[in-house]
Amino acid sequence: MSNTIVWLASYPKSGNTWMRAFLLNYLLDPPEPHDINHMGSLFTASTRWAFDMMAGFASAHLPSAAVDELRPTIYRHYAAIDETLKFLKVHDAFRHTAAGDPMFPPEATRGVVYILRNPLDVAVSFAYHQDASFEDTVWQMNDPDAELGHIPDGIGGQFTQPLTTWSGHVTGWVDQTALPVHVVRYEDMTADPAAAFTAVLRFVGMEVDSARLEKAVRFSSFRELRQQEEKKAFVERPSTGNFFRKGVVGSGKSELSPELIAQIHADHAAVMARFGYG
Amino acid sequence: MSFLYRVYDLTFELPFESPELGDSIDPASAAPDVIVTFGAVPDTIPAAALTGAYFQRTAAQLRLDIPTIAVYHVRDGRAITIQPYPNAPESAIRTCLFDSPLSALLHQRGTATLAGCALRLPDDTAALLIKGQAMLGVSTVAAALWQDGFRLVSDTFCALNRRGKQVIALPGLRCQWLWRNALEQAALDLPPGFTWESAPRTHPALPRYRIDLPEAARWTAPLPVSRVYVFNFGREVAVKKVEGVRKVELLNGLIYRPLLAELNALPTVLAAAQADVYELFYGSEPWFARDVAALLRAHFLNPTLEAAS
Repeated sequence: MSNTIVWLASYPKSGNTWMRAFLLNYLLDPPEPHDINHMGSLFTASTRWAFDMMAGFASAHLPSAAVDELRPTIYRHYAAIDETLKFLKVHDAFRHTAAGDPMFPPEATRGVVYILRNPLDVAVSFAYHQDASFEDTVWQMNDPDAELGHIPDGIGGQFTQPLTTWSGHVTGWVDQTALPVHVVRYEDMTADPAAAFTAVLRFVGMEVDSARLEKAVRFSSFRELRQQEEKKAFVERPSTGNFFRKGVVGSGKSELSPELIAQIHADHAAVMARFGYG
Repeated sequence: MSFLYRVYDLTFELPFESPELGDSIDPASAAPDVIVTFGAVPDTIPAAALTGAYFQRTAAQLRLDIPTIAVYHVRDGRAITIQPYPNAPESAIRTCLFDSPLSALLHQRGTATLAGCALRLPDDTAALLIKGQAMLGVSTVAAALWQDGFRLVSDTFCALNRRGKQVIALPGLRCQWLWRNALEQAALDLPPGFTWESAPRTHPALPRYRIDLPEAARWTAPLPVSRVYVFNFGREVAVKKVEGVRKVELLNGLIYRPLLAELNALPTVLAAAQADVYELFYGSEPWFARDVAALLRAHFLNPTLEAAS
């Protein structure tokens, strides 16, 4: 059996790193909070060094379109290394390669945990993260050609990740039928983290140990993650400011202009209503 | 037709001219240590000790498939066979050859490689700049340093060998591969006559350029390793000395393409013992190659400097 990968899929700034921090603290059960700068075992699917390590050659030698075609093979191989569950963070839209290969191969997949957050709050957090205006970010969230990680005339630590629109990202992952999917809302993680993370553990077929769960929730709290970033920085930080900024629910309504709030509702009405973001 | 080059303290016979290696040498002047040829590569390696998505290896052999470019068969630290893909760009075949297959060949010979580059210091020793958590930018920093008068010993990876009781850094390619945005952001002086349109690239479809090192910027003799700087992330900009067994752990964790060969950790263990090892932390603010180069330049002169910003 080689379906060992659990994709932790989300649009950026939706709680994915929090989910990874929780899982690492639960899986490793460390005596102290796990170091946020050593989440390498739960790396991002688009991480260049991980591809290069497993492929044995530098992806930088190939055009990005050629590398894209090789990613599914790397994932299949990674899944088949052993029987242990492997959690991979992913911001890519659910998609196939240009040649038609599923980017996230069903035979390598145990399931998808899709992490969803109110797009009003995503807009604020994403804008700060990429040092962009709220207006540009709201526009980006409705751009079907939006990408993450693309560096013109250069190279980054992540491959270019097509995002599509916020709504397209959500429905692409949630409504696909090739992979089992469990949806968890950021707002529910915030309101009752133990319940939200318990549901995730059960979805991937893991035993739930209540003491371990309580400790993992505590070790991965926003306050803890923020403290670690203040103390020693975070490798995934944006070029300006902190990665862990506020982490609150409702910042969109308080920080965005009425016009931008209306724009997000207009752009994403159906998906927002479907997931209780009316 | 074949061409002889001297690189990594070895004589290579190649079936093509390789500007990455500088000038070829007189074929009558030396017997090759390593022979590279074009030919058919077997589909599998029997009794492979490790099989990856695109490679198989034993202690003495590596079969590495780089789709759209070539399949490379590296054997006994002495031979590499290249089977190109149809229409593969020649520049990409060479660039790929001088990366993972060459690193694996050196490992097969007992040489250790670390991801990063080596520079000559004024006291005729080598400083290694190694990619740690900060995976990017090391080559650009090295370029800024050689433009400021230092000499580059190798880039892409550092090759370490024992010579007597010393560990030495071996001289590598006579060029660097740099992305256009790195060249522009670092404000590097470009070679005379350089144009983005006509300059040689590592692959025709990539904005990544081969910058041939001027004579005054390259160093072609082995040098004893005296300093190692591992590029990592941190809250503040700082250079901190590493002590004790952590030096060894740090370097052994950064061996280049470790899955492609049986590793000989002895050179890195000895290098850790012989050299002063530092972690260079990038701070939270954005940095450019020239800033890091300035910090390093100051530290080369005054290693007691623990932090700067």
